[in-house]
Amino acid sequence: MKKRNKEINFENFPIDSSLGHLAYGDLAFAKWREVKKENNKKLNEKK
Amino acid sequence: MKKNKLLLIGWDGADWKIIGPLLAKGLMPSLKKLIDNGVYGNMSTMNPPYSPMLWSTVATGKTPDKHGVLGFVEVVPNQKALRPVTANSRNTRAIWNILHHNGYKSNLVGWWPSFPAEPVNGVVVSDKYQRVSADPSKVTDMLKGTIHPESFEGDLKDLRMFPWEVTKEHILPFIPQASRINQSENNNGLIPFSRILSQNVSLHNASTYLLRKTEWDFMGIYFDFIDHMCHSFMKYHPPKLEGVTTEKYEIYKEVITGSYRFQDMMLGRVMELVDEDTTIIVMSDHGFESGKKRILNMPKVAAAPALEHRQFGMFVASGPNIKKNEKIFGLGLIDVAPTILHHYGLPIGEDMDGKVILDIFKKTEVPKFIESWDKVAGDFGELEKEESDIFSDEETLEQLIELGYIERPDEEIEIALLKTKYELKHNLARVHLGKKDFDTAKILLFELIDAEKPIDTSPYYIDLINVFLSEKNYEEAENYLNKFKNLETEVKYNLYFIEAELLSSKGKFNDAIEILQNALDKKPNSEIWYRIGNIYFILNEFEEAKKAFENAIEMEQDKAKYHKALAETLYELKEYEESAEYAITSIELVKFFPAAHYILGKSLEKMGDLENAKKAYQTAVSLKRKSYHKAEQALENLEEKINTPIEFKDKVIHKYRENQIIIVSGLPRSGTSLMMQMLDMGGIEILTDNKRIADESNPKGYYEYEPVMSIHKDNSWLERSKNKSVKIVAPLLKFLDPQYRYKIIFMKRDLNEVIKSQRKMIGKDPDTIPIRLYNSYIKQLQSISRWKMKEPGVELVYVDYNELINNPNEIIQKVESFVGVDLDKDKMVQCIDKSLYRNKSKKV
Repeated sequence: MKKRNKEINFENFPIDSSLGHLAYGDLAFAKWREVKKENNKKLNEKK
Repeated sequence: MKKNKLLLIGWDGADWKIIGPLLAKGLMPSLKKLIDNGVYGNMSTMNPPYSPMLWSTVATGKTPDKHGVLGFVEVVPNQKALRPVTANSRNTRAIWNILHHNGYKSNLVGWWPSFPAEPVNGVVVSDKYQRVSADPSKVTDMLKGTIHPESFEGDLKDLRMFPWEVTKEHILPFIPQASRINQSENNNGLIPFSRILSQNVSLHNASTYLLRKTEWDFMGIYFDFIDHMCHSFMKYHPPKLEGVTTEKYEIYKEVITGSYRFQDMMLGRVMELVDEDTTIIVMSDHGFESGKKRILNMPKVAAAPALEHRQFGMFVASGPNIKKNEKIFGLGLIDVAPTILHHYGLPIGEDMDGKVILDIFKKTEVPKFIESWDKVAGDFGELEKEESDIFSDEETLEQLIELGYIERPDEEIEIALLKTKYELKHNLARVHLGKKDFDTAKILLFELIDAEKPIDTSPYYIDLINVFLSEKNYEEAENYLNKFKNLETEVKYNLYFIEAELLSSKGKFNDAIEILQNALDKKPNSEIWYRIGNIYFILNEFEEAKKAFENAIEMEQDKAKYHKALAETLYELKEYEESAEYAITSIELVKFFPAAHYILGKSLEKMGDLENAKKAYQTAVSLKRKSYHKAEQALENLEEKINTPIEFKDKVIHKYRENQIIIVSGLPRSGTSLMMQMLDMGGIEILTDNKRIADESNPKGYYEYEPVMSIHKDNSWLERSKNKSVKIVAPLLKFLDPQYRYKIIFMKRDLNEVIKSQRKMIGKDPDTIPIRLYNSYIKQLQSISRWKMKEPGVELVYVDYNELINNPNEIIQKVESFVGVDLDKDKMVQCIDKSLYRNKSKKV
């Protein structure tokens, strides 16, 4: 199967996400969830 | 794993009117790529345009009366509750069932309706998958049956997006001024926006996941993104409508274009994930009003939002065996399933209503057929017969209520059930109306109008009245209109079309035009202009008709019937080239429009382009499911014209036609009885019941046949007239059934003599000639002259009464040649009693 992923930087995935990320589908969505989860964890630790 | 993969993507409600400008600006690059490499065209919807019905038609190739999905909700098997429509309502096999049986793998995402997921070979993510609660405190678990096979539930469950996950980064591209929205308002636009966006992102996530992770042959993905955004925000789309506040317009004006663009972005990602040799179809089930006809205040009728739907949706297909950058015509929802089966080399069910769209393929093969896939035994990956437990699905029901598709169920469940049952039956009646199966529709509507409160029977009456109007049963139409007017209903109906048609049926054309003109003054719309044009056309006021049809087209360019009507009018005005152009435009909009091909043929024939005229007539004949007699006869005439290079001055061909009906016509007292008597003597069998006996006025008999008097109600007796002669007075000729071939001998006599003879017969002063009657007869004769030219099955020869009396041999020869049958001319001549005629002349 041919895959030509668009340039999405999964290493530095932004917490804000974007419409472009949503349009990218499951991979970006899953990554975004993961980033949000980590971010929440960090925020809770700070508290 | 087989080659020949096909991806079918449904964009509910997508419309070329929005897509076109976005393509031109380069704002939908993914769709543009498909179009450039494939075919595109209008997709014609069906009535009523309710999406679950329509997408089930797409999946089955059958109309809703056959597939059984009749609305947005259904009654559960134990008859005690309602629920959003499920796959259990579908009672015929879909594409994926047939593919399953033939060893193909199918993935399905979000198809409406597809819950509970059918156990097909592949993965089914049903339409319950994306429905989640808007309340963050309720993280909805997936219902059993949401996904097949269950092994995919784990990964897919986490790919659902929740409305509260929508962020400003997601919102601002659609609603740049979102900060101006008062979020404390219950009906603020962010609520539906977030729900619609998150649900469709969930479907997209499931799709990209399956595209990456699974092998498949067929995949169907359905999005309601565009349709639902349009229902919520189209009223704010430019140009600004009166009645929309400037503030709201400014806030929401970009939502619609944003939605199309986001849908295109998702398409782009999907296209990245499929092989280049995959065939991709993107299509919608209907269009969406985006112009002046947008509705700000939805009427309180069942499934009112569907009133915003437009007749034409969109269709694009691209793939290895699909033509490139070509426009395709005449596509219908019922054609999609047969076309997909054909793509896989599978036979089409003869019980399917659609056809294979062969026009889209580069290499075509003759479609194969099977009696019915439903009759084939074996494994089709179908659901077990439903158990009677009730699926609770509050979220989906709530969304359908919010969108306005269904009313909030009454607290009393019995009432809600009753209303739903009536609504579904009404939808079924409307399906039969759409198929022009008026008899079945009437049976259902008669049952529906018997309903008692709290059922509002008014919409059933309106449909019933329209059925009677379609059948030209004006008496019953008026009868039910009067009953309708006594009903108590909260809904305000526009009755001007019905009233205008009833007035027209009584010949009160000016009153009909006045009613329509008043409606036009209140709120102009194209349909009113069209109806006005039709009346002027009947009145032979073609210049006025032309103006009216032009106005209709100016207001709405894509109605095929308007272009066809203008083509017919221009033909009457002898503007044949323009007529042909409008006929072609009409055909471009709806290819399968026999009447448009017919008028194109007529115009081309007049222009001298006989070969193309022949093609147009042939197309008209081939397109009409029932016989298209006018086109068949026009084609026969044209072929004779091509084969016999003789210019016929009159509309007469001197030869016998198989099963021809010889009609003797004319104004009363113009010699019709004499001609009947002569034909009788000449050896032609006469259709008469001899009920009217001979008298002083017609000493040799009237040769009449009583059923002729009510030919406008029942013309079935014409079947008995084949190869016989029957007398029909001039005003009744227009009621002849066009399925037969007629040889009309039209008796002409000096009008003064005719009127004198008539007045004498009824005991009035023969020397007084009423001017109005005289003028009326002139009009009738002119009208016959025009009518005969319009009817390809009619050949008409004029016989002058005086000439017949004075030169009977010559006239009898003419008659014999015209009817193409050897006559006993000697006996015919003996019928002429000159002394009788002279006596009459003297007496009058």
